[in-house]
Amino acid sequence: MMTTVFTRLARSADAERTQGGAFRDRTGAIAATTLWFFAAVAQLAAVEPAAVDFRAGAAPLLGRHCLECHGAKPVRNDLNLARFTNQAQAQAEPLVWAKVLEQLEAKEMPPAKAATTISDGERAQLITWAKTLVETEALSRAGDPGPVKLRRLSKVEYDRTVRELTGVDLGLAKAFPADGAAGEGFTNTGEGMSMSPVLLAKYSDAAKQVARRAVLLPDGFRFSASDQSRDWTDEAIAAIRAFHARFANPAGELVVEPYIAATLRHRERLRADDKAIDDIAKAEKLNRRYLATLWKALNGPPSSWLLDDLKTTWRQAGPDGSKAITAFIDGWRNSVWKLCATGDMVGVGHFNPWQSPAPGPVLKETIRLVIKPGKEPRISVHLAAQTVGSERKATIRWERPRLETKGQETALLADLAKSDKARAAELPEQAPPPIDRSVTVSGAEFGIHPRSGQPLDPSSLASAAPGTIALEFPYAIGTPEGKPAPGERTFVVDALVEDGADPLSIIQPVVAREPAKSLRLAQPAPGLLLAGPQVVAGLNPFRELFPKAVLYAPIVPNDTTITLQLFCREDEPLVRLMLDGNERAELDRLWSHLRYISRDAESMYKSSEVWFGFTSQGGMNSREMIWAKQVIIPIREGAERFAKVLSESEPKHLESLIEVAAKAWRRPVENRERDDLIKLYRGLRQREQSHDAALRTCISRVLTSPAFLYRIEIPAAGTSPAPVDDWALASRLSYFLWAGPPDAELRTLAAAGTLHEDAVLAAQAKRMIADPRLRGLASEFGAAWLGVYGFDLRSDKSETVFPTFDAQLRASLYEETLRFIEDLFQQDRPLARSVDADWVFADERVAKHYGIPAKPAGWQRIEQASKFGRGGILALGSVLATQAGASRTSPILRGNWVVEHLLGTPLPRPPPNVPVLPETESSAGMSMREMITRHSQDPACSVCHRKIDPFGFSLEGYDAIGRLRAIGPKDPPLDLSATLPDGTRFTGIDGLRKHLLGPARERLARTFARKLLGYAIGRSIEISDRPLVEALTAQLLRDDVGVASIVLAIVSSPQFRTIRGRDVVAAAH
Amino acid sequence: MKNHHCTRRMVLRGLGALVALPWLESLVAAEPGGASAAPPKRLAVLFSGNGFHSKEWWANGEGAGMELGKVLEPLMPLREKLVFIKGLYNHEALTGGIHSAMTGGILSGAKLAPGGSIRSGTSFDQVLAQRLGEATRVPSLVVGCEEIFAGIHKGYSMIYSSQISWSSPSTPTPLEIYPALAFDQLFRTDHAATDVSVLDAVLDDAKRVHGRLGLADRHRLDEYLGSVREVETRIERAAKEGRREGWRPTLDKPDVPRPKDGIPSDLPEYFRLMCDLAVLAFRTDTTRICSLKLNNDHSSQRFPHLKVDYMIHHLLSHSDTADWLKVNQFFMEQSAYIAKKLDQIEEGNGTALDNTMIVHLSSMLTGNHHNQDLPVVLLGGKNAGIAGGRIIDRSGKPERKLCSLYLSLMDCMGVKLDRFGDAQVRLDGLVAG
Repeated sequence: MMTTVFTRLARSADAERTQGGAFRDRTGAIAATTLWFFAAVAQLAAVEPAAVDFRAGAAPLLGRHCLECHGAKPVRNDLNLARFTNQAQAQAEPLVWAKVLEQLEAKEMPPAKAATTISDGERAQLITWAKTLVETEALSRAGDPGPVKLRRLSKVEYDRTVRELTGVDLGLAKAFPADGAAGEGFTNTGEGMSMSPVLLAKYSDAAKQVARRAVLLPDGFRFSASDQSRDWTDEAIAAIRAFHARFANPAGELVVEPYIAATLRHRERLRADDKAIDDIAKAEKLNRRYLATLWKALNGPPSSWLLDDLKTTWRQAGPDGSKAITAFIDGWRNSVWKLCATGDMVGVGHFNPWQSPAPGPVLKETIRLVIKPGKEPRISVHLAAQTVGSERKATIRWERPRLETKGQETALLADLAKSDKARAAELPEQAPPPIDRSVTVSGAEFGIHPRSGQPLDPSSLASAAPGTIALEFPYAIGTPEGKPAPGERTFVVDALVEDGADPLSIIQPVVAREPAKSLRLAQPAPGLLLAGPQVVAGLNPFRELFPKAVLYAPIVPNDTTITLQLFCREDEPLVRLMLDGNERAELDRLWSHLRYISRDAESMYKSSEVWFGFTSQGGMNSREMIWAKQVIIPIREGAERFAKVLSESEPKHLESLIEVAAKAWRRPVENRERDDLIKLYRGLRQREQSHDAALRTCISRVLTSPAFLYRIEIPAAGTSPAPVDDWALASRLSYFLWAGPPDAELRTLAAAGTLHEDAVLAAQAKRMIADPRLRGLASEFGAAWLGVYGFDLRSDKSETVFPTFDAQLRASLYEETLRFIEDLFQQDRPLARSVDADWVFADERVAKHYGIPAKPAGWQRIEQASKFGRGGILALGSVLATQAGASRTSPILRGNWVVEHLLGTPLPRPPPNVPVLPETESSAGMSMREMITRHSQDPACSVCHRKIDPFGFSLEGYDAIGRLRAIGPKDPPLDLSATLPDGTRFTGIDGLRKHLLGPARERLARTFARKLLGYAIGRSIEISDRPLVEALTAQLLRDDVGVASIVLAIVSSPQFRTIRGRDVVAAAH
Repeated sequence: MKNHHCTRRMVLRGLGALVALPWLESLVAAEPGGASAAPPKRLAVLFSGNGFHSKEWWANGEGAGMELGKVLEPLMPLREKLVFIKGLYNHEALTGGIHSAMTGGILSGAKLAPGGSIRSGTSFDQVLAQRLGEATRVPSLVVGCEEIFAGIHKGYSMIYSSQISWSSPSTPTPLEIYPALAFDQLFRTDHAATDVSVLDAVLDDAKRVHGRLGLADRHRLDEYLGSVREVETRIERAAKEGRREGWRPTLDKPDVPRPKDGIPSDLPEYFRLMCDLAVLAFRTDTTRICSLKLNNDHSSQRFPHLKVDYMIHHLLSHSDTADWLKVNQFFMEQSAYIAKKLDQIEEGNGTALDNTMIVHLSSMLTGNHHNQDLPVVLLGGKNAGIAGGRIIDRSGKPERKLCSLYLSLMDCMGVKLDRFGDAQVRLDGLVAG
């Protein structure tokens, strides 16, 4: 026997080796896996058969104890054992004997009420015979990839595949019929994945939905969550805005202060080593290019007076001087740049720049101050000459201060002062003037130069800067006697800086009713600046380094008035100062997308005619006509250029289509398939379909293909198993661990043909376990393993009894469950931790539900969960609530969940005519426990219930929505004790935990192993999987092997990596 | 070792695709009502899970004097068009586990594959859809008011407890649970002109890979091929619509708007929408066959509108309470509603109900999994020779198979089979003559 087994094993290992080196050069966990795999197999082989032959070893005992119910006409069951007459027949159906063995070992069968009683010796004999048969058969078939039926994408897999393909979550599978669970209880099993015309029509609809969301671009296409082109345009704008946000504030400005601060903070380091700029930019999260440019400007040779002023200030500044320097820069850039309004034919949106250089300081300017009549009879006007920047001396001339009054001639103040003097002289001395009509000037005198004392134009004033002149005069001055005072007057003066002073002096003249607060300014305040010609010329280097805005942030020139351009791109300063080559290309690409999607060149041309009609409604003047003609020509040219872009992009869309097909089909597209796709496209074009429509049809065709909908694997000819190719292996991996398609890395490895190499495969599996997409395994395997699949979408609780148990709490409890499972795999924890974990994942809702005082912000792992009655799968709210009624608990459901779901113990069918239960706990005056105990005393029921109910009783500490029951001081204590049929006793959830990790540990592990393997390979566990399941179980029982290692062991198994030959006729099981 | 090798023909027949293939045309049954002036016959099957109140499912007497148990109270006004059928059973449903194994074969009498397999039998409504479906825009309307559970219970996939209509032994007929999508299935006609090009192309894909696959996979792909062909045929036929001769339906197109997307949170509204769709489908002659699964046999429906919200349907079924009775009546109201609506429509020499057989049944008599005799009630069918106001009691008689009822009902629909499921004889006394 031993020899036979090992010969077989050696043979199968040889076969593996020749089929792709599956067992070569394993490392790490995989090596360990293989070792214990063989160890387990050897252990199985060591069982020495007592009786091999059916006729001698089994038939008499079967006849005596089994055939009464399991004969040719089974009594209320479907197991016919009478059809077996010899060993060969028995060997052909090992699964039957595996079931028999299980029942015999568990002493479930023959039942106690059977007519004959089986002796211990007879039972042992039958067990030995069945075990030998089962294990011999298992070994002889070990590693068989098994009959995996062609798998369709499950609903979840479909959505995750579309999401990976399109980058958007469309949730289209919602309209598909629910997948049935098959195999080991999962919806990814080929067995449950049928096709029908209705489903196909749904797939076709879904494919069209995806195709409608393709956004055509000049260099290919992408997908949007929307099928509206208006939304695509908005998305393109949002993409540009997101790009902008990486460089500028929402107003489109470059915020200078952090840069200045960085140059100050790191001044010494940069002086020593200007290559440190990269590191500093990175550490300070600043734009490297701009920081480098700024550093160079601050440390370069003298350039222009304003930058030199800045340099001086910067050199003198301490490490925290950035605020003052920034204020200096901001003041200056506000006065040397101006931003244009939108609309009105001349602003943004009409081919006019938004930002343009303001003239800055000017040589001469007329200043006006409106004076309204007030209570005060006399008016003060202050002429302040503030100096800006470094201390420089200058003289300001205030020429011809005067008053303008509607309906009157302009009156020079100098004349009014003179005439008033003259008039005062004429008046008789004794007659006091009705009001003080004098004009007073302090700080200067009309017609006299303050420095030279030389004569000046007699109607003008001059003063040193900084300096101020105060004028005072009656409001009604110059008004003929007897006439009412005028309604409004304007004080007007021409200001200029005199030649001959410091050529770099800059004056900020301020004409106001109040005196100026300060006459020396570090940087200009908003308003007028006066300076000599040299100053004006020296502003450009500053402008270049400090634009007011680096880009036109609104993009859309939105205004109440009509604009011609839909989108304005103005970002020369951004491109010049901040972007490297790649970033420039990226920004250009984003803009080309917006232009392409919005087709603005086209629509602008179409609407320009209408627009000209609209704007010239009142008639255009000749200047506007010329401008209009200048505009229309580039618009037309733009439209022509765009038509070319459109036609040039068509072949690129077809290339994109092929790429999408390869991604969708999860393998390279064959030449013939490529040709077919193009042929379909051409055919549609010939049938008068637009490029857009034909392309979309082709996209939907890709997504209706069996290559997309099914996970097609091509087997080798013949009947021997062979490894699947790397593309199929990539899909097996990704759908196992992510419930989604292979990502770029897996595709690259598949294309390189290295994925099947042991080390590569193991490394990928590890990478994938660490990836957030492991959520796919958590929900599709984990939630189904725990029997809470789709928990978040149910509504089986009474809102009246449990008003807090709403959809949000459900979603949170489901999330908690999935996080717990993810953590088991990602932290590679032993299976035992799933039961005795002393932590809980909670958000605020879950914490509140569980009565945990902590208020987590977001999701948090909370330690010492046992203090709150939590920790592990038994205390998950999702589990406890699922296995309960709408308003009351059900120890039967919970017990059944432990026995069947967690421990995989099959129970016989309940007998017919089970007595009904009384309605509620209160109505019968009994506790749930008493009620069920009574129910289960019925001998017909007790067969099962004594195995089920105790487990449920131990969880009675939790109510129907999984909260710890509140026990008042007057309430009777909860009876959480459990007694199993074999006399084992335990109490409460802790007792149940100890039981699951003690006597029931092996069943727990084996069930988990079966289910995880069944999920991974998409089919039921076969007899040939027994050695692997046993090996996995053995590992799961160890406290130093985590569940991620079990994943690696499964991934490395022949079941996972090979496929049956094409010509194998599937055996019925 | 059994060999599940299927011929291509078997597969396509299973899918109802045969009508699309010229070489199978001779197999198509004569179409009742096709070009004649008489209205066609129709069938609706309503399913409720978990049985009924054990003391209130009964009937006595006959005709207008008939007495009904309280569960059946909503059907009182219809008693003269009602047949109470007692004592039927489904043999295979006795051999497996509870719930799933009792429900998955209820309309076929088929043996269900346990463990991780899914295999039932083509249900009789789908046999009819495959034989008669060509006459209408849609072969059948298969709708439900509870989502399919994904799980395995007592060794059987829970798809069995959620699915009564099967297009083939391995293909549950897709169950539509969204009223709006069911409406679309019936009445949407916006097929793109290019749909057929796409279907042709993917058909080529499937054919190309077909021969390179293993046998089992080829079978799966055959389903795909058959489905594609069927959808193509439907599209092509839709383009040629309006060629109907002889009898005309009482309603041209839907007289109600498309229901809102999503599932109504109010259960009575949900039921009502689905019932209205069934009536609408019949009135417009969009289909003549409908199965409506009101809930799963493992139902977790709640009934706050009846003030019964402390237990889900499945757990309620384990006690004979006044609340359980209320819930039962609520389910029976649905078939009563459909029947009354149809009975108000004059059609030929009677009403639409006289041309329609409505079967309402469950997979167990009572919530304690008793399925030795099943609760079945039939409404309508007068013009098919079914006289109402009667009780047919097969209890204790040798021929009491549920599939016998199906053989008789298929007869009424004009599809005569020698045997179906485990039955070889018709249900004695159902159809006159």
